[in-house]
Amino acid sequence: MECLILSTDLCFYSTWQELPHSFRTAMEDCLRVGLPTLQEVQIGRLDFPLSLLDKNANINLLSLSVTPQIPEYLDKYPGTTTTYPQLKSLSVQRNKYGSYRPFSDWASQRIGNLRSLEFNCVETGLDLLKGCSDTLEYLHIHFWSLRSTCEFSSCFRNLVWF
Amino acid sequence: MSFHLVFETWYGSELSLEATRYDLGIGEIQQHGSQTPIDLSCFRHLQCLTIRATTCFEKDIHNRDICATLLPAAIETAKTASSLQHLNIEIRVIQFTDAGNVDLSPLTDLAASSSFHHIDIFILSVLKAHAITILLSTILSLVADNEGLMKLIDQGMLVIHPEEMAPTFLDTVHSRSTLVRHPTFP
Repeated sequence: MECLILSTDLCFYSTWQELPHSFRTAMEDCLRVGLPTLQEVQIGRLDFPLSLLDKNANINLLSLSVTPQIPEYLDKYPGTTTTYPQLKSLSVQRNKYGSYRPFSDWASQRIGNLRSLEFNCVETGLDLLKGCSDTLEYLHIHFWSLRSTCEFSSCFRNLVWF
Repeated sequence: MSFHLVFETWYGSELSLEATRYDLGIGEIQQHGSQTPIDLSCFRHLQCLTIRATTCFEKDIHNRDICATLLPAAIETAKTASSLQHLNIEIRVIQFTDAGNVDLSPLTDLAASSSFHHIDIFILSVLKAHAITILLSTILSLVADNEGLMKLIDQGMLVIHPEEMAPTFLDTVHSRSTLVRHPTFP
């Protein structure tokens, strides 16, 4: 398996614990052992425990719809990993409230060789950029303003009326 | 589609960039936006930069027609990247009623920057109030007075893509690696 795509049909953010137990167990067992062929991971609107990826040394690309809560699972699986997968590509599309600083800390140990980065959260992006100034070759930034995002809400209400 | 946008809205609430706001009635800047929000001057190996920026039409509390845009912030950021070879700027115009009101004057700064080997400008309308599409001829008329930009266009160094999105991040990564292109989540 080269690519793992985890997403749900739900429009709203889901926690890992909300997924069926049997699925979670199977996924955790696989990832905790490590999949040597796994290169790409895409996580949808899901609070995925990122520490499960740490045994998968060949992951190059990580794409997150939303930053998950971190730390996670540290008590359950206490730190057995000291070397982490080094990502070449990282995409962070949304910032979950209160999670950007822990996520930046988590990512800082894994982006020493980062070549491609995407973000639309300025705060998270600035933190991530600090860790890859010597290696970054491709950068995607989404600029949104606070005003504009408010306007998105009004646009949506207009669409409903139409 | 609409629901997805609402989802983006909640998570966008943490962002703090200020848009430049134009009063369309008098054709002047009402409020300057964020100045160089991201400095890329220390990224010596940065080859390709893609920036997506919104331009939104609205009415202010005095019922004046306003255009709020992050294009100036995007251009200021791009100008700090000295090693850049390829620049993609995607301008998402929200709720516009007249393509002629889209202010592309910040693009003129790109003509003065000789470091870019190639520039692609993508302009698309989203959440349209009327069934109007942005035409290449309209965009060209907006930049026709700028000799520098027109020269870049004539030389093929600047290409304008009306109603097209810039390449996605995953498209870019996959096109530059040996990884098999996998489907993405919606």
